[in-house]
Amino acid sequence: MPISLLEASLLGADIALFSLAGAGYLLSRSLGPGVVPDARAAFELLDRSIKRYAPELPQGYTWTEAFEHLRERGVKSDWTKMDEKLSEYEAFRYGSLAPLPRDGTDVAALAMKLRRNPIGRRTKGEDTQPG
Amino acid sequence: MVGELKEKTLSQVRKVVIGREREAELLLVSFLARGHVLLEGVPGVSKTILAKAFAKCLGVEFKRIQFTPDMLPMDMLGGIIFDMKQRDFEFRKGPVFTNLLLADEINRAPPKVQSALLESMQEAQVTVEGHTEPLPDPFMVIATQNPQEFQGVYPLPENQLDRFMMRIEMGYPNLTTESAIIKRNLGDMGTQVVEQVLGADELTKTFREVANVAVSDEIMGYISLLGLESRNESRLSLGASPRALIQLAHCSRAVAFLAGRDYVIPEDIKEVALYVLGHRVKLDQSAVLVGKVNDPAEVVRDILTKVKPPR
Repeated sequence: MPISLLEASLLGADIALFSLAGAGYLLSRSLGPGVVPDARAAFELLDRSIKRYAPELPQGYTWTEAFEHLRERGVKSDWTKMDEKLSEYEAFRYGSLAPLPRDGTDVAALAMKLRRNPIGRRTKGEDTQPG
Repeated sequence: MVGELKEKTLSQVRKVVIGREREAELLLVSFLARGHVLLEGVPGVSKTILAKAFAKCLGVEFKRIQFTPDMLPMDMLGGIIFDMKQRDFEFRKGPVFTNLLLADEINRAPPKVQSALLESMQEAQVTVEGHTEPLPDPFMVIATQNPQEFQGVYPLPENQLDRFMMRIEMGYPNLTTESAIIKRNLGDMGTQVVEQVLGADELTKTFREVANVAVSDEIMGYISLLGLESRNESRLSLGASPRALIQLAHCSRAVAFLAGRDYVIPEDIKEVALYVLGHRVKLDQSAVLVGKVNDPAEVVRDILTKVKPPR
């Protein structure tokens, strides 16, 4: 039975909508860390990523504890650099004199990396299992 | 200079006390935060020698009082005596007039003596028969008590416990450490080998710098939340007092200073919270009876994992 014009247009609209949604999803996954305006936004992004990546971490975790946990889970990153970035951010966040670090690229890159590795998937020696 | 202070102190203490680095570090934190410490442990776990070595390396005057059940407040504070030569009454200072006072076995002293120590600890002064005398600056009390003793002792009431910034439990050392202790003690061991690491001027400067460490509003909010959570905790009948939270803030400043920072981060609070809050909270007896909890430290740890710090 031939499809009517209405059905054909509805099907076309569906395909277009799903394509758009798919493209949006893929775009969000491929977004580089360059989109974060500063370290505060990067650390907020990282906080959300850590919650998704390591839900076993208790609510009261601190950055140092979270980094330690990620290291234990085998997440590969330049941890020396991450520790430096954290110190700079904390100096701004809790100190009274340090300016807000403008560059949040490395932190955002770690956040995106955690997002790309959902719980339960093991990639190249990195443990992504909770606990 | 800052990192050096911690390392120098620990290296001097290590000369006479083995395996007590953490305890020595906590004593230093408390000292810099101008607080008093209660060392709790069975006899023979180096409580006294640790306090002596600590005082010597900081170059402050040290006195020890062995508390006994027949002690009177004037044995510690001093008293008004009649001077025959001057034909007048004068105040004779007691052993409490020192920089670092070791109150050995504090729970053996009767409540009258314990409460006489309260004013000294809180106000840094002594009042005898209307005569008030300030104590030397700095003034720190390191009290010791054996938690296993139940006879002939007067347990410290909550208000007295609250005066101690920290309670540090000193357990038995591990096997390797114990062997090293025995080996060390077979030779000649005394605190004379401990060297002073800080001059009087440096000490004053250090206290000033600790007092200048920034505690942000968010960090203060976090401390308050910890206090609130302890008061809402069903396994506790007594939560943390405002004084406890103030002392936690002071302590975290000292921790931050020793880490070389001029601002407090949430880790600093977590590092000392157990020692500052552990002896101040009281377990709810019904929770203990049903086996829900048997250690206040366990509850404090749970609170720390539950309350979200500023990130």
